Amino acid sequence: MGLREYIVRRILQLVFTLWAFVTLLFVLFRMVPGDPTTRFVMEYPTPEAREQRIEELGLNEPLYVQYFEYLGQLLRGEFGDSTHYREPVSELIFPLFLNTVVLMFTALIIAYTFGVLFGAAMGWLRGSRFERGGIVLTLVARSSPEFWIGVILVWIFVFQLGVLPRSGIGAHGGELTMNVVDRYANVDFLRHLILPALTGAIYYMATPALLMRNTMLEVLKADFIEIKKAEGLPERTVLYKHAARNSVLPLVTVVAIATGAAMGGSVIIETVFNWPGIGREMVASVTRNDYPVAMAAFFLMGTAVIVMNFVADLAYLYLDPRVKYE
Amino acid sequence: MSLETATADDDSLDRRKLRWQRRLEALRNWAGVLKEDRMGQTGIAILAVFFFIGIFARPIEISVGPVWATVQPFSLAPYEPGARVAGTGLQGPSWDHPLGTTALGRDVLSQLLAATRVTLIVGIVAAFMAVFIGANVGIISAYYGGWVDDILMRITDVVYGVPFLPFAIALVFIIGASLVNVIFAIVLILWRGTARVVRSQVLSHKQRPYVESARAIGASDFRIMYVQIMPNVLPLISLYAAFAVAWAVIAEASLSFLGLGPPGMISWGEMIYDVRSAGALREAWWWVFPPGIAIMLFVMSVFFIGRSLEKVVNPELRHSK
Amino acid sequence: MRTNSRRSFLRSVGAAGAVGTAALAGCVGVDDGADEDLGEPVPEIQFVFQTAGASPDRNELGNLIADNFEAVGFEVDRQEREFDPAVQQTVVEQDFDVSLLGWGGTPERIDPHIFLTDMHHSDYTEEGGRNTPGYENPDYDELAEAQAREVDEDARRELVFEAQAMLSEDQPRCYIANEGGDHPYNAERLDSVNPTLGEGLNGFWNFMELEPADGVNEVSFGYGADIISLNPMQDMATPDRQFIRLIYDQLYRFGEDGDPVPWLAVDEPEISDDGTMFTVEIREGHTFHDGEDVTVDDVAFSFDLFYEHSPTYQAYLDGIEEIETSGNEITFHLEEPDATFISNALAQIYVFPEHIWSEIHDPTEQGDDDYIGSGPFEFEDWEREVELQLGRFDDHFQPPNVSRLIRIPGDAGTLVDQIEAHEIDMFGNEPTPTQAERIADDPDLGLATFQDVGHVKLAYNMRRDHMDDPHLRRAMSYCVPKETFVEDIRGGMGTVTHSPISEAVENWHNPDVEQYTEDLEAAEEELEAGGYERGSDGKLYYAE
Repeated sequence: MGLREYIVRRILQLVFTLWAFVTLLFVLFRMVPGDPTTRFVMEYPTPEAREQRIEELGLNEPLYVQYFEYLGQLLRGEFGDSTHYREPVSELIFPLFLNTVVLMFTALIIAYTFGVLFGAAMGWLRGSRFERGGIVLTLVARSSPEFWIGVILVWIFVFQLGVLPRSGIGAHGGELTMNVVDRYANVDFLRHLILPALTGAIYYMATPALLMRNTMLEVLKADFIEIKKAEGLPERTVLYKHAARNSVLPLVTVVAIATGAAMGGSVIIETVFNWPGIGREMVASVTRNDYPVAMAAFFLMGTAVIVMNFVADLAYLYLDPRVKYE
Repeated sequence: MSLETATADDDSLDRRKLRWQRRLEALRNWAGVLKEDRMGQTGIAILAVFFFIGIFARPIEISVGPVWATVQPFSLAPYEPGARVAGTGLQGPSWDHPLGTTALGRDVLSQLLAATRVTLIVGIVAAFMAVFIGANVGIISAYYGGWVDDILMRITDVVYGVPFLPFAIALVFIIGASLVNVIFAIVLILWRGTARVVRSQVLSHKQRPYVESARAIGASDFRIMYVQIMPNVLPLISLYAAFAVAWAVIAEASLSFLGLGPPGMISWGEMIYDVRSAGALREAWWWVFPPGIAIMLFVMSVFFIGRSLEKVVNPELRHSK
Repeated sequence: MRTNSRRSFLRSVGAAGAVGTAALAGCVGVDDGADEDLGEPVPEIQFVFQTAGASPDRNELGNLIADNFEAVGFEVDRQEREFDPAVQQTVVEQDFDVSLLGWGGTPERIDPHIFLTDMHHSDYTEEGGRNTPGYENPDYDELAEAQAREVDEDARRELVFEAQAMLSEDQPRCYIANEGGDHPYNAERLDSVNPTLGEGLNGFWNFMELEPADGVNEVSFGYGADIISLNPMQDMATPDRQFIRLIYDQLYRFGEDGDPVPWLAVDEPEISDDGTMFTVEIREGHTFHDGEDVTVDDVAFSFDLFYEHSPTYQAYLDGIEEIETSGNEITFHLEEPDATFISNALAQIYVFPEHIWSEIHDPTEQGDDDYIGSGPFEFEDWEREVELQLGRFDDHFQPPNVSRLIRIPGDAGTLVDQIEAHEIDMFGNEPTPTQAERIADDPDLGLATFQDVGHVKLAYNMRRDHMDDPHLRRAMSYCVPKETFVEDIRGGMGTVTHSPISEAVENWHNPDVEQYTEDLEAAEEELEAGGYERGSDGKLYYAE
């Protein structure tokens, strides 16, 4: 099978996967007990008023009609209206999604920058006490659920030292803007960002650190290092130039997967720090039977991960000629 | 009896021996690795302590219909974890309550000990089921290839697209929180990693001579898959099982922390949720730190064991200690 | 022998009795079957209550109640549910024997009508109706209808008292407690706050009358949930209404004691002798936030709009035959006399600017994004899950004391942390006992105490045969540790109650109804009187 055929086939598979995924979401959220009006049962003066609302939402249509309507919407790139907030899902989700992306992106950048450096150092100093201690430390960080890291950080920096804000994304009463620069590039926001981003960073640091250490060890064993050493280049140059560069390849694919993991894990961090993000909204929308929002949030995250995986596969193919087109 | 089958039988006897030798060797390997791996030893020691606590923290009673029997009468926990034993809530550590009391006057130490069992059950059952499903999907997918492989791998892709924790939260919310449902929600996602890794391993094994020769003497597919190939990927499977225990425990703790834990049972995550919902995070360090540290130690011990298994799976790592 | 603690609350997996009962003698056994001379066993009680995640306090209470049920011989199936599934299962599907839920108290519920009629009249027993227990008692229906017709307050009070006594006798529900309590605020930044009946710091009169300290222009208010919608045409939750009424005006507002007081109206309405005509005179010279005058036409337009489009209010406006305007007066013609018309209609309907809403094609779907009203606060800006910003409407006939109000939604526990860190100024939910103690110890912070109108209650599903026995229901009510709930679980916040009408509503609360406090002996006596017997296995059986 040629490369082009392979890629075409992979794309077809991707389309099928996405279809199966959105169908799964549809079925899943129709299983939730109750409907969008349940929460307000106590608020409706009469059951008729509630019936009317259910009819308005088109929830008494046969399921297959609702299903095709939902597929059609997705194909048109629409998410419909939130049944809870009664406004377009896209308007509702966009700022929340942005908040989550900013938070998680920061966390991942910190995690990968320090993780890679730390892992490389561990690999370079293999067999030393630094390496042994480093591994234990990484594993301890990886063994702590995000909420636990968050609780400890809050305990230290908020309750004991009182140096950082407890929650939220900025000071109150300021201008509410969707202009990204005004919104995120200010001291207030950054102060609010520190703890949640750190929580994520500590948790995600283990993967790049351990991976980097392993690849570093492999690279160091390889011949060309010996050659370079023989050429008399200083050790440090060798380390950065060659070893590190060669071991970053596997990290590329891991980043793709880690992004997905971080997206899924954001719900915990957002809960601990009251961060107005998509993860919390996702869970909240499930509890409110707000199908459109829940499905859109899951769809965004899921599609991101599925597409990332797809890209990672192709990247592997490109980077590692040993992979067969299976 | 024809000559051929006779040799086949002898053959299979030899083979069986060989296989057992292989398995023993893997174990020996692990023992060898463990001997010089202080981390692995630490992991096993910590886990053993947790097992001991899990079994003896509270009495165990089994009832089938109207017949019941106490199979384990001891209780390490000084109080019943649900009983409100202190007159007032939120007392710091004392002789009566070494880890203090909760906001409603329950003994923290008793809860901590009793919660071990929930963690063990969730971790082990969920991991075992997830790895069992994942390994089978991986083996079948790789062995048969073609459309079987296609379908199973597409399903795996879909599951890969599902964000783990939000999905588990949604599912537990939909089907209700109970121990079984929490395990179910975790298993439903957790098998995906094992499936992919096992598949790629089996793909390479499939082309090895021993599989060819097994085919030549007419061994059934089932036999080749589970008797010939499986033992060779077993170390890898057990490595993933160790990781699965860790992820399952973290997932359960996270669910419980969000207040979606199994009702009527106390788990470490639930304890931290209780501290939070009582608004006592700020002051009740004796109530919030023990369960957090317990989760950390438990998962850490599993990772330590996993690392030593990794050296068996990937011998190159052995020399890098 | 084996105690009920075997099945006790919070069992760890496979746990057995209390420490020390693990005597090896009791290591193996067989539960006896039924005794010879007893009838059928009483069916297992399907008890639905909220999970600890949904409501820690009520979950604790639910488990204590279930423990007591078991102690007097009931078998209990504890079905712990999240909030929405719990409501769906009990209120909509009516699939329960006993359920534990609460009802919020808002100013319009201070009038006894909703708690007496909507919740107990046999017209409301269908799926999703407010009469969850399925209580059908013709005598009671008559009382409930009579009190709604009675315009004379003293005569009405007598009927309301009688209705409460009847409910206590029949026990379709067990009223447990009014949850009220304390709302925390920052006493350094606020000189005074004004917590009101049923709502505490969420009350309209608090936002109007709170006094910021010198130099404080902006007051931030935290609440455990975000506003769903500020469009009054859509279904609204209580927290939404609490802010909508700041932006929009009504003809009458509920005063601090729950009685409607004239607001946009100049005075009390003129009611015709037959009780079917209500005439209201409107203030002159009041404007909307965009400077347009508020006229009688805007009022008439708003009533029509709500009748057309708002499912929530339609029911309240159904009795209106015709609306007439002349000069500054508006007259409502009703089909029949209605004592609740002021509370349920005149004090509920918001006045909208006709020049804006007449342009809006489908008001339930799409409202006015600038939220132009005529209320004491003007809408400034809003980002979901972040904050809502309101400013004082200086041209209002009764402007508030604070110039800017910021509403911050979020997780309740985190918001209390923010109160303690002086990051926000007020909080509209009750803190936990632990938090309340800390706040009380902090000289910079204050606790505003208020009494609640709403309540926590058990509903007994009388549609089921075994639940349709007053003895059994009364016995169950004797199993409810009301005192423990208020004193221990809620740290003394709230009051024990035995009636749907809170004792804080002095005008309507009947203090002399039959009371059910935790008393397992009384419960057992009730069961005996009802002809139930305990078998040797400790379970309840019907007599042969």
